[in-house]
Amino acid sequence: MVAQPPSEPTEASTARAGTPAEQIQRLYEDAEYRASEAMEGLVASNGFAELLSLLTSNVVALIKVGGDAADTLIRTLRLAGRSDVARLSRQLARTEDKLELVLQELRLLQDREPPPPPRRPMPRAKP
Amino acid sequence: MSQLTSLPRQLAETANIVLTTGDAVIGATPKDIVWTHRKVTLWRYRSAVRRHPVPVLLIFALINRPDIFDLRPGNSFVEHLLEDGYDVFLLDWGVPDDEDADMGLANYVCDEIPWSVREVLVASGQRELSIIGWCIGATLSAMYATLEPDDSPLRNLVLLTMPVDTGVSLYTTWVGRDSFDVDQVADAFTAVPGGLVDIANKMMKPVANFVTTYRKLFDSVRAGTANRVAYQSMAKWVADNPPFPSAAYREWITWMYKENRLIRGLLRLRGRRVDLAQITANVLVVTAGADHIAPRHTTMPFLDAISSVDVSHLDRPGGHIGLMAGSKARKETWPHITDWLGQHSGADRDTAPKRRST
Repeated sequence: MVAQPPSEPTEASTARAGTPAEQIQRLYEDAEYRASEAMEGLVASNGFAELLSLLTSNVVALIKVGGDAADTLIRTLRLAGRSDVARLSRQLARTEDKLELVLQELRLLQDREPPPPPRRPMPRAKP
Repeated sequence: MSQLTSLPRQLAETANIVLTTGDAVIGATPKDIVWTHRKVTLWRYRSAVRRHPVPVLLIFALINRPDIFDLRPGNSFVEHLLEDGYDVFLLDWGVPDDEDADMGLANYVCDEIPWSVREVLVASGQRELSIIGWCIGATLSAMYATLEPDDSPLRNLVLLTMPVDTGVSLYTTWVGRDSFDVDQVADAFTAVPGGLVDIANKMMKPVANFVTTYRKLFDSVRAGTANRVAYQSMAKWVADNPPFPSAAYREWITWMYKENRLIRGLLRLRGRRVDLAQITANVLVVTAGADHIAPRHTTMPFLDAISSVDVSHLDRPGGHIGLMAGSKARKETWPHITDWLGQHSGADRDTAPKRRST
């Protein structure tokens, strides 16, 4: 098979190829698409999932160590820390839970009760 | 040459759009507070042209804010419902904090949803309602539907991009394995930071989320077609990730992804079995063809598991969020949902034809 010499670019093919800037843009988008496909394949692999599990575990452990150290420091300085605020908020939340349960009981009772009869207008006192 | 000279301005404009994203206005439709409990708020949107007696309750996921239902004026599902004549309520989970660490799935399914349903009925003066759940909100809604007694006020259940059978999914590959220690994460954080969950979600499509989004924005700026408001409203919503209460996080990951309990009928909340066969309400399930978070195959088994007579399935193009909030949602998804709801929201419960359709 004899290799054909490259043909002269026609007007149509030039238009399709576009300007150099457009060609660069297309090349970039093509590369980005391929990278996207490859990365999605990578993150779906068991190897990545295993690595992600280990990384998560390490990051969480580091955050916990840092948080515990900060809590200890604040407690040593006898300052109210986040955990103290959270404890107070939790107590408020429990009180709100109880109030909500009372409201729900009230709603149930309202559902069971027949509607009150319409009130008669009070007779006006005669002068 | 002119391209080179305009490049700095285009870069500056792109940066400006990204940097001022926080100023975007989302969730702007006027609404009233109906009920609150802890961080949970029940909102009501009032329609000026109410035609349908059955009110609609919107329930979103725990890992993003529900503003996506009312993203921006002109592109808001809430607006669409109001224009169609519905009395709309929104269950907003709020922004949990350390004190909400004890909020588990049972708190949401057995307390917050039934209580808000009761308040919707009281506020609207109706005896029945429709629930539209999305993502985790759809799964929680389905769980609630199984626990309701026979005289349930739930007439219609619309479930959008709902994970049910998670046996084969990318999430399961990541967190379903033994080496992912969910207890370590849940013990370390009283409320798992929303940013961590967001990074995990974005890692599912890393190039698309971390590169392509910004490249496309730059391209649109160069082309002079950038829609600042549309980009910023969506970007602001995506970046707003409330913490995941640790109890709910632990249960969600363990029960849904490690043990796949829901579809297997093994899930119990406060001793009551969550049996999907107990669902008898009219059901519309909407899946998205390009959904990578709750792929269609994770939703489809739900259709065979329920006992409802009137079941419809709508499969639309788009992704997990784009299905309902993308530029095409207004024409390609919302009308189908409101048409279906309209047929099932008359004063008489039995007016809609009973059928199973896809």
